[in-house]
Amino acid sequence: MTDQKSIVLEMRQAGRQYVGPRGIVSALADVDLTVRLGELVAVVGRSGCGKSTLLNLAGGLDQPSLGSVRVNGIELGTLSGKELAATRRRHIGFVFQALNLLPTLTAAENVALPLELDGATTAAARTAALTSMADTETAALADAYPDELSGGERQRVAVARALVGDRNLLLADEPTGALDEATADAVVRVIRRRVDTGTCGGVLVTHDMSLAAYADTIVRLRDGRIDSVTETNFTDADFERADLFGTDPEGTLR
Amino acid sequence: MTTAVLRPLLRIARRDMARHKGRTILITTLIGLPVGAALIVGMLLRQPNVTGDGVGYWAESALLRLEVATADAQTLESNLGTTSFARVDSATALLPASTGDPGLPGGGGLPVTVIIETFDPSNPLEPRRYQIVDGVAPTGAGELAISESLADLRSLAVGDPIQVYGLGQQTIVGIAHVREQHDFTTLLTSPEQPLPAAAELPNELTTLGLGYRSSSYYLATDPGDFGRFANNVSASYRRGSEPYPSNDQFFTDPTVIALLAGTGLLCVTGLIAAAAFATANRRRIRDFGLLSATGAEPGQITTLALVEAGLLGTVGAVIGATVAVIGFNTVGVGLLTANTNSDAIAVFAPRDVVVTIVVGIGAAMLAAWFPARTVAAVSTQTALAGRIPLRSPSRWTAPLGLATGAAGLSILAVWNDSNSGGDRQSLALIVGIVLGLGGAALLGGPIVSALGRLAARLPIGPRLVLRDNARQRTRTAAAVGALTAMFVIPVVALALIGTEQRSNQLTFPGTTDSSPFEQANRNRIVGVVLGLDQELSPAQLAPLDDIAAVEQIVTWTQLSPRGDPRAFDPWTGGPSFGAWDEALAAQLGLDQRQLPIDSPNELRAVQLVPGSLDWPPQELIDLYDSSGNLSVRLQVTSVSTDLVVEPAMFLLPDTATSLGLEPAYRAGVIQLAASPDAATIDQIRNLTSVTNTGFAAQAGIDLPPLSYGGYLDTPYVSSTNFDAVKAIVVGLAFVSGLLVLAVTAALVSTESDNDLATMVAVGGAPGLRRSFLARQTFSMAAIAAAVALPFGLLGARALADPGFYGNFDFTVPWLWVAVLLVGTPVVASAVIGTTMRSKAVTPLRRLD
Repeated sequence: MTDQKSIVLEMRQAGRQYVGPRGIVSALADVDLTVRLGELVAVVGRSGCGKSTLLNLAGGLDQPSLGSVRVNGIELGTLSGKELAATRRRHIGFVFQALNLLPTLTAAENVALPLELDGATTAAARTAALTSMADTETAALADAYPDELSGGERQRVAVARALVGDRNLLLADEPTGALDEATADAVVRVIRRRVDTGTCGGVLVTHDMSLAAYADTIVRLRDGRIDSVTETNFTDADFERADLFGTDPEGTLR
Repeated sequence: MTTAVLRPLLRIARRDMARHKGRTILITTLIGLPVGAALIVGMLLRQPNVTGDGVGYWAESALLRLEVATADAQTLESNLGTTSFARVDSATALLPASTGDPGLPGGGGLPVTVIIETFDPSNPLEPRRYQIVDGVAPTGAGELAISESLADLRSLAVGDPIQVYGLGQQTIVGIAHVREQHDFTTLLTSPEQPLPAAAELPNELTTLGLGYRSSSYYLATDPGDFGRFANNVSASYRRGSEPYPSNDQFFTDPTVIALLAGTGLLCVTGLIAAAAFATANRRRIRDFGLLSATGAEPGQITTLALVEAGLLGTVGAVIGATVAVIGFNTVGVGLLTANTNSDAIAVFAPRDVVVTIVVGIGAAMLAAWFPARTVAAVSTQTALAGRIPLRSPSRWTAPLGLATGAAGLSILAVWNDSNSGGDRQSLALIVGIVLGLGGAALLGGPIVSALGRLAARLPIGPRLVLRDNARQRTRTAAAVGALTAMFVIPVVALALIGTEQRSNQLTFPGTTDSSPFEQANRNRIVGVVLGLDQELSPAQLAPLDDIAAVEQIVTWTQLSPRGDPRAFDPWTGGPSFGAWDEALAAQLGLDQRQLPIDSPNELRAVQLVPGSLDWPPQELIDLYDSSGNLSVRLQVTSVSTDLVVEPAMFLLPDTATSLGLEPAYRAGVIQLAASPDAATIDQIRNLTSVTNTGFAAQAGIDLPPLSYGGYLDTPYVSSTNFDAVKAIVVGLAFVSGLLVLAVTAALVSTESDNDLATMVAVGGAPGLRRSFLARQTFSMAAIAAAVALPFGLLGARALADPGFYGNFDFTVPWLWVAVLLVGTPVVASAVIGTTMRSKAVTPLRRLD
C-alpha cells in the first residue's frame, strides 16, 4: 500500500497513434513505466523513437490512444482539457530544452506562476517560489528577468518552477540540450538532488548517456517501444570519480 | 475566474505592453484615433454656431429662441452676456408655469409656450389640420382642446383645468392631433372664444437668438426666477447640451452620431488591430504553449489576450479622448472661430467621452478575441514547438459572406425604396451598410486561402506571397477586410456622384457642370422669408447675414391680417394650408410625371421634422409682387429633409379674406434650382408675397397653363464641381488605403522576417525582402479591390435614387474607380518596395 502511494507516474500499455495520410501511425506503443517518489527515470533513444511522445503523455499534454497513464493516481486519459490543465498545475512540472521562462516575468514570478494560475495569492505563491528556488540554488536570482540569466540559471529556475508547491512529478525534455557540458551536468545534478529529497519523481529525456547515468533507471526506446530498461545503481562516489577523470559514471571516457 | 488568477495575467499583459512598444503604440493609435475622431464629431455637433455652409444648422438655429417673461434687455445682457436678442411685444398664448400651484395638472416645471389656434368645425379645411382624438371640439368660451404633445408633456386629460395667460381658467374638453404643427404644444379654441389682445398679456416677451439646438421655449414667471433660470440656460448652452429636453430624434443626438462615427472608424482600425494581435500571438505562440504546459487553461490564455487588449484599448481610448478634448477646446475652437465667422465654444460632454472610451475598449477586446481564441485552441505541444497549425477555412465563411452582403444590399435597396426618414429608416440604413461591408470583408479569408492553393503553378515570388498570405490567414484576412471596407465606401460614393451628375445633365440638358454662373447660383438661397410680424433688429438678423447664400431677407410686416400686433413663430406660430389635396390636384390637372422641363424655377420643400410632413411634390407656389401681380411661379419638386425650412404656403390677404381664412405666415426659403439670371434674382428680391396654387385656384385666380411649370430638382451636390468631389473622395480613400497598407506591410515584415532571413541565407537575392513585401502589399490591396468593386457597385445601385423625373441613368465614373482600385495597390506596393530595407537584417530569432 505504501508502495502504491509513492507512485507518481504509472503508464500501463500506453500508446499513441495518429491518423496520417498513409493510415494509422503508431508513435508509441506498449509502454509500461512506473516512477516513484525519489526516483529519476531517464528516457533515451534516437530522434523519432517516441521520447517526446512519452513525455507528452506523461505530462498530460497529450492523451493516450491505448492503455492508461496515471499521475498520482489520476487517470489522464479520461480528463477534459480543463481538468488536464488543472492536473498540470497541481502535480506536474515541465522543464524544456529552451523557452522555459516567460520573458516578461521575473524568475520568482515565473516560478510562482502555476500557483497563481491555481488561485494562490501573490504573497503565498512568492513564498513557495522562493522555497523552491532555494532548493535549486537560485533564490538569489529571484528578481532577475530571464534575459539577465545564463542558460544554466534559467534551467535551474525552470526546475524550481517545475516542482514548486505540491507538484511531485518532474518531466524534463532535453533540459540540457542547449547547455555546455559542465552546465548541463550541474543542472542534472540539481534535478537529481531534488528527486533525492523523496518529495518528487522525475523523468529525464536526454540523448546524453553521461547525464542519463544520473537516473536510477534508464529506459531505452526504439521505434516507439521500450527496448530495454537498465538499473544504474551509481553512487555519489561514482559521479565524483567521473568528474575527476572526465568519464561517465561507468568509467567510459567522455 | 478569481481575482487572484487575474493578477498574474494582468501582470504579464502589462509587461508585454512595455516590452513590445511597437505593437503597443500601433494598437493604442488604432484605437485612439477613432475615439478622438468620434469625440471631435460630437463636439462639432454641439457647437451652437451658424455658418454659411450649414444651412441646415441655421434652420435649427431659427428655433433657438428663448422666450422669457418680465425681463428686460439689461437683465438679459447681464445674465447671458449677449446682445443678440430683440423684444417682441406680444406672442401667442402662454401656458404658465405651475410651479406656484402644485395642485395644477402637470405637476410643475417650466411654463410652456403654446400656440392658440381657432378651431372651426364648420370650415371644411379644418379636419385636415386638426383631428380630435379624445373628447370633443371646443364649442364656447372657457373650453379648450389641446394637442397630444401638450397633453403628454403636462399629463393633461379631458376635464382638467388649465391656466392660460390672457384667457384665464379654461377646461380641457378635447385632445387633438395637430397635424400641421407637427403636434407641437397647441391650444384649440372655439371661434366664440375671445382671444387676448397683446396689451392684455401680463408680460412682455423677449426673444433671444441663442444658437444651435435649443429647441424649447422658456418662460420665467417673475424677475427673481429669471436670473436663476437664465443662468441655467446659459450654463447648459455653454456646455453644449440642451437646456431642456426636446423632441430630438434619436439620430440627431450628438452622442449617438459621435458613437456611430466612432464605430464606423473602429470597424476599419479594429480589423487592422485584429491583424496586429494575430501577428503578435503568432510570435508569442511558444509563450502561450509554456503557459499551457504550466497549467493555464485555454480560457486563461484567452483571458490573458483580452486583458492585454483591454489595457491597450484603455490606454489608446483615454489618450485619444484626452488629445481630442484638449486639442479641440484649445486649437480647434480657435480654428473654428477664425474660419466660420462665428464664436465656437469649448465643449466637454462627459457622456460622449465615456461612451466613446467604452466603445474603444470594447473594439480592442473584440479585435483580440478571435486571434486569442485561435491560439488558445492550439494544443500545448504544438504551441511549444512554435507552430500554429494551419486550418482550412470554414467552408461556411464564403457563403456566409455572400449571404451577409446580399442581406445588407437588400436592406439598403428596401431602405432606398421606402425612405421616409425617422429612426427606423436610419437604423435600417446603418444595419444595411454594416452587413454589406461585413459581407464583403468576410470574403477576404476564403479568397486568400483559395489563392494560396492555386499558387502552385506560379513563379516562386508570387507563390511565396500567396502562400504566406494563406498561411497567415487571420492577419491577411483582417487586413484585406479592412481594405475592402475602405474601398467599398468610395466606390459607392463615386457611383452615386456619377449617377447624380448624369441625372443632372439629363434634367438640365442646356447646362453644363462647367458653367460657373450656373454652378454659382444653383441651389442657392436667394431669399429668406420670415413669418414675423415685426421689424427684426440688426442683432436678430445677424445670424442670417452670416449665411453667405442669403442675399436678402424679406419680412412681412405689411401682411398683418388683423392689424393687431401678433408675432408668429416661424415654425409653429401661424396657420398653414400646405396639405396636399388630391382632389384639388385632380381639379387642376396636376400630373407630376407629365410636366415639361423648361422653367428654371423651383421651390424645394423641406421637412422640419423628418417624416412628419407629407409634402407633395408638384405643389405650385406663385410669387406675387407688392402690387399683387404674379411674377414667378415656383414648383415644389422634391421634399428634402436636409435643407433649410418648411416651404412657405402663403395667401394674399385679400384671397385669404375671401376664403374666410387667416393668412398663413410661415417661414420659407426660396431656392433657385438652376441658372437664374440677374433679373430673376432681382425679381425675387422684390417679392413680397407668395400664394398657394391650390388656394389661388379656389379663389378664382386664373392660373396660366401648367406648361411653364418646371422640374427643377437639382441634387444637392450639383452646386459643387462633381469632379472636385470625386477627386476628394478618391484622394481620401487613397491616403487612407496607403496608411492601412503601410501598417499591414509592417506587420507582414515583422512576422516574416525569420522566413525572409532564411531565404536570404539559402541564396535569396538581396532585394528579396523588398520585393516580397511589395508583392504582398499589392496582393492584399488587389484582393480587397476585387471584392470591393462588385460590392461597391451593387451598394451604389441599391442606394441610388431613381429620382423624380425618370431621368435616371446609373453611371459609374470608371476612370475614378480605376484610379482608386488599380492605383492604390500599384502605388502602395511601389511605396512599400521603395521605403523598405532591401535586405533582411533581422537575424534568425533567438531560440531562447
